[in-house]
Amino acid sequence: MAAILEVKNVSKHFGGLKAVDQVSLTINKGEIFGLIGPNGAGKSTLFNCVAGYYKPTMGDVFFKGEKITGVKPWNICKKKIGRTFQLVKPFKMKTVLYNTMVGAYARSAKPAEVRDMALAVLEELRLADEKDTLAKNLTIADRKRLEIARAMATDPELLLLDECMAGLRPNEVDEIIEILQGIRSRGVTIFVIEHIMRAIMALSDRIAVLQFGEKIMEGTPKEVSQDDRVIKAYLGESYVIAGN
Amino acid sequence: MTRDTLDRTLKILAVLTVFTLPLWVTNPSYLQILILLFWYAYLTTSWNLVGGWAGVLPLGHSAYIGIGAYTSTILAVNYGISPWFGMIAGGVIAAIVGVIIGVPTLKLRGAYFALSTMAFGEGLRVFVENTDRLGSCVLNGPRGICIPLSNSFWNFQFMDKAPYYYIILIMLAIALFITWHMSRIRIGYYLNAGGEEPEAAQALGVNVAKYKVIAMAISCFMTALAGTFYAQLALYFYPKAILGLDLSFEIAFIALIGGRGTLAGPVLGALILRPVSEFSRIYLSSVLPGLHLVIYGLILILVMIFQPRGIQEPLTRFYKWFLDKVTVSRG
Repeated sequence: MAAILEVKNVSKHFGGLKAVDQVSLTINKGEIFGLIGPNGAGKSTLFNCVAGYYKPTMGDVFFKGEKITGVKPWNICKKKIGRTFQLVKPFKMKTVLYNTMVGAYARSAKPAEVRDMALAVLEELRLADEKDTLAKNLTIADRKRLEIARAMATDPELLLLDECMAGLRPNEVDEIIEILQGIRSRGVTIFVIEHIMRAIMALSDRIAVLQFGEKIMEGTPKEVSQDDRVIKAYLGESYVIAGN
Repeated sequence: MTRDTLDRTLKILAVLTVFTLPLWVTNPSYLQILILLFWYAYLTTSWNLVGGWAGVLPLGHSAYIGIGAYTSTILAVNYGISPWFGMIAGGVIAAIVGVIIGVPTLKLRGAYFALSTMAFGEGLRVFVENTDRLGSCVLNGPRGICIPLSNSFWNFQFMDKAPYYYIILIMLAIALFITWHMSRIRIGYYLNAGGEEPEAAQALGVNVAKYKVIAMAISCFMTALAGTFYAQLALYFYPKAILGLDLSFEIAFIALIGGRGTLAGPVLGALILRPVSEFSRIYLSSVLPGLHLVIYGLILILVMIFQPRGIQEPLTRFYKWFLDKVTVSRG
């Protein structure tokens, strides 16, 4: 399988804090790659380094073999990388359709075409019924889906999802899992940060684990869930001892 | 009568009324009040492209009015160039200045942008007030410039008020059309998105700073045209009148009270606030000069508390309710 995204020895320091330290990852085309780790492990910082919001202190990011380190966010988008934010940022005073059209304008300048593209994306994200609702009136579950819809409207080859299921009810999580599997089946590669273990285990082909900015392991969901270091990172020393 | 026909009939009636007004309003003073009303509506519509859509608060737009007025007047007085061309020249210069000011300042957020535009506006006024001559051009410092009389279309001067009325009306119509058109194409979506959530907009491929600078250039160009119009209407202007902070504030007041970032807001704002200003000037100026800004302030406080999106919102709602009511009771 061909690599679509390569993160090579990326570090991001904020003053003395090493938020991300020497992390390397390779994500293959068409795969769903999960990134987990305790709060403050540096997952979102790593995302921001890939999406152009932060310039890495050291290391480089390659997308389809091309170096994209330090490229501005709006140009990253044009290279066909879409992203969502952990704290959703809808254009609140605008309708769901308007929100999605902003994304679709990255593909065309013709309003009628853009509208059709946006409607198709809303259909896929199961938001078509809400298209005329103002974003501020959406439930949290719909806001999370709108966040994905906007990113999908830019027609990305790689989708970066930052905790798009946090705070949702189990049935809502299942719906998003279904939607994401549909998106993947169309050939879109997905790089996802998630805290809901059930979701990330069900979705991911491979998972990397971050702790204190460092990658402590990488493997299939099964390998990761049975690894002592991961259990320690999530649940603490005593849990492992008690388990033994 | 269906709701749509009633809606259309009322709108056509409104447009007809506005276009035929000089036929029955023959008193030049009243016509002058209407001209200034449209002038403010036009200015606020221009301001709205940056102040309403790009999500920042420019408080120095009088600088661009001044650039327009001085440019066309100097070109006419010194070089005999028709103010119609001078108007365009003023617009181009204002757009260039707007870009130069906008590139560093539009990256600033909230109050910092407002303060820096204010500082630029005031700086320009102080500079002009202290400059009698700029090269071969006579600015006359605080005394201002008188435009020699010569009534002709070519010289942008008319005996009657009616031609001025129609010129500013057409300018306003064009400004509203530009705003309406922009709101339906990419730049409008990008400006709105960048103004509300810049980070999210960037992730969607929007170079927020670039679009804000484009909006600034268009807005400054349009604002400068109003400067030339004012110069040709009054035939005399001085820095305090067209470069003052109170003019910049008045534009922002009208926009905020009318409804920022909406098509109807600037027009409704001018429609409601200008009479307040005119009547306080006519009847109370000897007692309390500048009273209208105090009244604006009070109205602004009330509007911000009860209708933070401006009075256009309740008025639009009322209009829709009225349409429903009338068509239902008839049907």
